[in-house]
Amino acid sequence: MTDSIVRVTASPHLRSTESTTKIMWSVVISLLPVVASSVFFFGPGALFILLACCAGCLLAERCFGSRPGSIADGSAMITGLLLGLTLPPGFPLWMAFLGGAFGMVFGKIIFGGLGQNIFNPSLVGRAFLQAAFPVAITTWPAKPEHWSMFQGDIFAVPLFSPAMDAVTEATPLGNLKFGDDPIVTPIFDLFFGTTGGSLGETSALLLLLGGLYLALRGHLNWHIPVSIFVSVFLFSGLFFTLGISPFPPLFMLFSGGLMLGAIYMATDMVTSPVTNRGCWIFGFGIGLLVTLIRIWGGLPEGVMYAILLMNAMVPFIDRATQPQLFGSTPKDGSKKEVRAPTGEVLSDEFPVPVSVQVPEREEVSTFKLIATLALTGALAGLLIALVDQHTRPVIDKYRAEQLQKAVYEVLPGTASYTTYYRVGEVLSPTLPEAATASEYKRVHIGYDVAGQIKGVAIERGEPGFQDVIQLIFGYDPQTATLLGMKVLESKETPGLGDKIFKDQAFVDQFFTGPRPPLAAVKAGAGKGRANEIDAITGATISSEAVVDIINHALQEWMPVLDRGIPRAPLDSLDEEAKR
Amino acid sequence: MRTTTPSQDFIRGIWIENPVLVQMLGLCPALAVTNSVKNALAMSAATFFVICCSSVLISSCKRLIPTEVRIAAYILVIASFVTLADMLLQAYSPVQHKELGAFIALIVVNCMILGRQEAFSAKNTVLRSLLDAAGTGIGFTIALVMLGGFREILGTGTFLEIPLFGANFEPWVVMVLPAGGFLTLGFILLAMGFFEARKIAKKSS
Repeated sequence: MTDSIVRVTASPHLRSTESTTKIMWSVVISLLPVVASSVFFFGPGALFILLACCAGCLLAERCFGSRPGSIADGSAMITGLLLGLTLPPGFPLWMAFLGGAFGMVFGKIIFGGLGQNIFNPSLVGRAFLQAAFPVAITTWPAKPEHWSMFQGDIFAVPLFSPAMDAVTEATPLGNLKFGDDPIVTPIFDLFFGTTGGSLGETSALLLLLGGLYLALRGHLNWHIPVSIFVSVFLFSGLFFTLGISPFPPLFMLFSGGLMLGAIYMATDMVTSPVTNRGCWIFGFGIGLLVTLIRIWGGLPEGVMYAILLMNAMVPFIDRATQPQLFGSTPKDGSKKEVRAPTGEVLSDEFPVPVSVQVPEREEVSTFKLIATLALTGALAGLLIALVDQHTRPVIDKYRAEQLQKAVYEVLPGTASYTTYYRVGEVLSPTLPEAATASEYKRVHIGYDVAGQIKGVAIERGEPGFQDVIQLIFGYDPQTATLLGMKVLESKETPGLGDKIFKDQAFVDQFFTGPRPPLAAVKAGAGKGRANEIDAITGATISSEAVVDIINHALQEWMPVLDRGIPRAPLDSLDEEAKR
Repeated sequence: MRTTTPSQDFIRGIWIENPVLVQMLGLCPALAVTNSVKNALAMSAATFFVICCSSVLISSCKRLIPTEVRIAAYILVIASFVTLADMLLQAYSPVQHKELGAFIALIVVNCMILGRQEAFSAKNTVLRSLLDAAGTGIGFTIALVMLGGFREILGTGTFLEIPLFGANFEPWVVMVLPAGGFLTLGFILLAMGFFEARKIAKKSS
């Protein structure tokens, strides 16, 4: 072939000199100052953690990646670096490696590799680590005496717990939110990064410089970080001036992982919207969520969840902000008549089928239907009644044993107890003749070794969130305080409502002598009054039910208890003396 | 019309058409109670009891139940056996009963059980229905023990409450939380899909 004047080629005709590989490696370069600063602030351990994350990501990409050689495009390297930068100094290396590999496989490769993923892979890895190892990822070891010393126990053996440092340090956000003596860290410290925090989130200055470099080279859509900053500033300013939040807006901007997240993670080209309009919606959403989570969430920081949640919204944002194609008709819903070539108007609605052939079926009399169901029901009832007769005594015996255990548990220090029935307005140790125990309400009065009254254990059940909650609690009429509480039966939501008996911190509150009538308050919002019980976050109704049951039971029993509590019967004292 | 042998009826549900891992039925208990092997076994045993009893009863009464009310009748039968299982478990294994809580009662709405009645027991003999139900029940047990084992080993470092790694094991808390159920099920399905794809690729080449 000789040179010809006209060459015929297929489109595309304009080729950018950029490639994925080039962009990715320039992102890595822009991160280098941040990496250097993390080593400067946190010592050589920081480098090990970053390398462990990168190793996890690269190995996962090498083993499971769809294309051979996809390691070289640098995207796995970035995922590893960004994940490492969000981890606390002193984070065990094996966990960092695991987080990298998990984020890579479950955040990226299973969606089809680079360009196909919905969520930012490094944040997927971090979310997994947060859920799997909540203690390790929120432990911020204090700075060592010398720079070259390792912080924390980063060389913990894989699968085993790291040794916990005795001295820990609070992050600026954690300090302001949960600290006993909340202080607002000076903006100057936050800006240059001389505070505690994750490896790469401390120096706002270097992150901003890296972002600026990328934006100038056109590798980063500046609309996203700017919209996040504007929205965080506006919302936190609003809540701060209203007096709802303790976070000043500038503090919000420069503390925590906001800079790192806004500049390097939210701007991930794959998981952010296509249009600039979409980017503003995306950024505003992230800013709002970050502000909300930081003020009201259970964790001090919310950048990770905010970005992941908005990642999930990107397809919808893209659909809503799709620009109109040149030459197409506007999508305002105006319908045009569609005419067939013959001139008749066509409807775009589905044609209604004229008739559907229903196979002929024998008529069955209603009586037969009802009879069948009634018979089945009767048989089922019979079967259940038969088995019930057999199992009832076993269940009752077990319940009685459990009750006995529970009485001793809610009346600490009790040596023996007697059950009294409420007959009229009087407490009686025996039932009237020809009466069954279930007809009368009862209390259990506990005595110590000397026969002195320790307290009264009262059972009561009332509807909770799902079904009736049955509980027993101990009450000391002499000091008018609670002695203890135990849930006997409940079908509250597993994982939330069942915390009324699984959450030891909640249960323990009833053993520290609160003074009824009780009041359930939002966790942390109490004023230290003697009648306050911190409700469980996410299970307010169940917590309130527990408090109400105790209050109602006391209301019901107070008139009887005020008439005087029977002393220990003599025979039980004898029994005690024999021991 | 008959295309399967009784032994096929039995084997089918165990792995090839595993109710959880292949048919994706009964996912609520499979995800909710599999945070330990013990819970998984108790749930499987209760479900096995219910599906076998229901299949036998329904296949033996299939001519008596009119088509119009068959679903109602099936649910009635299943619900009765669930109540029985609930009472028996409460009487003889009260601790386990407390652990499983509301999920025992929820076996009634396990679509795997109703599915077998509608698809098999309503059309086949008592013996074949029992074989089919037992196979499905075993398949359900296998899936639940797989999920429970994976989650218990990583989530608490134990298997059937026997410590595997010593006291210093760092538990992966997420595995005993609901998210761990979804992660584990997804992971198992991923692995099964991976091997299936490789098998097909090998056959075609």
